[in-house]
Amino acid sequence: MKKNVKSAASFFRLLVEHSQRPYEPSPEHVLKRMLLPLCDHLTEIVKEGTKNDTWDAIEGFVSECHPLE
Amino acid sequence: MSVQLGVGQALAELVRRLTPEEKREFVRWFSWQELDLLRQEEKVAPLAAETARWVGEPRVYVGTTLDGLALELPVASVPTFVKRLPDILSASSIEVYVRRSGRTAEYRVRGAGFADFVNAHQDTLCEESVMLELDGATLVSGGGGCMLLTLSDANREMRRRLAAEALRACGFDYEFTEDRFIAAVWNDALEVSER
Repeated sequence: MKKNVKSAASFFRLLVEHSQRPYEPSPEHVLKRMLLPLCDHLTEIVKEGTKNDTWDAIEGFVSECHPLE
Repeated sequence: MSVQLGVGQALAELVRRLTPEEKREFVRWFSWQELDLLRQEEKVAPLAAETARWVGEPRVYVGTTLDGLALELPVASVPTFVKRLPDILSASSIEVYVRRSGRTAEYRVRGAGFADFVNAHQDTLCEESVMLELDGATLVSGGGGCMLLTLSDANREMRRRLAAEALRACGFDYEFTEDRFIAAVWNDALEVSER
């Protein structure tokens, strides 16, 4: 898996992990530390990556969904 | 509107739905101030001291995940903790992937030179979007001390030691004994729950 794809999936994992915490992280924290990096990575993948990269990113996200099920 | 709302909240919701004319009529019998006080009391009362401690964000947070650790450390403690990773994880080389202002930078650093690398790139490592690959372990950070460390099966036994190192970097000493735990610093006091 390419580093940008792995990093994107890792930020999604970080976001999922924050939803499991025993306290409520602030909206600013979620935005700055997870969503903005995630958006940046996804933008790069869409602009400069291949279709395989996009598919790998989606598969990476799906693999992080099990703690929510 | 939920039937579980308290009287104050229910009244507030009722008033919110009134037209301006109806509101003027309503406040002849019930002042806005009384209504607001009632609603405030209902919000605050259920927050017992135990719960109130967990409102807001802790100064330090170290918690186990399925395969690693989630960390919130003060920014000043991040370099100290990160420098310890190659040694604890026995990583001979570290791959660093950084996204900054829409651009990518990649580095490969030998374990022995990693402390110097951290010193030279401290601002980047503390504030930018960073991924460190240390053999089988991966650390991702969105900056500000917010980190997620994913460990391979082989180095998962290092989790307790890594968590203790994270706390030590923040000025707290604690030795974990269980596989699952949460440690958080609220009002300068370390609270740990293990199971």
